[in-house]
Amino acid sequence: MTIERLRQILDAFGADPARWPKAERDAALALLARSPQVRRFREEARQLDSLLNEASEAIELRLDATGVVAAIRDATENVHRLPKSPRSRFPLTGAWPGFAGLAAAAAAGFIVGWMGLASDYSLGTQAEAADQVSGFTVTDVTPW
Amino acid sequence: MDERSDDELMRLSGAGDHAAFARLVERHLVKAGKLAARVVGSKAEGEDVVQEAFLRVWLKAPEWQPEAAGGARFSTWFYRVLMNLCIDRTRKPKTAQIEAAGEIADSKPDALDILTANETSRRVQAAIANLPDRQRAALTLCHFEGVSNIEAAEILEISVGAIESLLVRARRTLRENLADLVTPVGK
Repeated sequence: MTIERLRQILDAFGADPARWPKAERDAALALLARSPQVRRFREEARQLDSLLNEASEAIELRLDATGVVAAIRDATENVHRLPKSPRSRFPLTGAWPGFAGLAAAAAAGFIVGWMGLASDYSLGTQAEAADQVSGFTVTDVTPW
Repeated sequence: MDERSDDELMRLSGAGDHAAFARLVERHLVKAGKLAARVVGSKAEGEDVVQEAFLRVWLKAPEWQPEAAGGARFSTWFYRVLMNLCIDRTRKPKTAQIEAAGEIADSKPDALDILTANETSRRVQAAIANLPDRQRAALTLCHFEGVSNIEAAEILEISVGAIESLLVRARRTLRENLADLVTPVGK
């Protein structure tokens, strides 16, 4: 055991020999007993230990075991109870009717235009048609 | 007093025994909660992390291999999960607090919500909170929780030498930052 090594131990584990590595404890204590310099290092470590201990007042937790278990039981049982239909498994579920409406409106517009039946229709009336199919308001539809 | 081992409680939990799981939670909750609160620097966030860690315990239980069968020791595995969750949590941007940016005083706004009795303690807590994550984790395990350097190394998945190095750097940084709070020791 050297002074440097014991200083390293004090810097890592503090002043209490019970926290020092077991394999080196006896040698460290022997060196401590005969070296005033090492005792000064130990005093520095003891002061830091005191500050740390003073700041480590009891932390009062609001958690209790019953609450933790109940929360986990709820969470895991809800996961197992999830319906398996695509509507509930995908995050964009609520958007499906909108997408369907837009697709239907687009298809209708394409067919009407292709058949030459839409020559007298303005963009506004197409938008109104889209509105009726999809449920969107006219301002939601970008004219194209 | 329940003498059943953690491994036995894990086996029962894996079979769906909520009472056994509750006993396991009860056994580790306080230590885990304090450890998490210290590492993340916030009691509320520490409690969130602990909940998540116990959820992982419950999900892991059905496939748990006891130590006697070559698996990990439960406490080492559990505190490893907990510490990793804590470190992940400290690295996440705190979006809710950014929204309240006008009230933030420093870069670790909730570091001080582990209430301490006086200004000295608050300064020490702040100094600990400002340590790098792994230094803070090592200090919390070894100093505050009294975990041996060997078990701390297993929990943090590093060598015993690396644990010692983290502790040395942590304590030297604290001593420098708190130098005015200690009485100089004569040469």
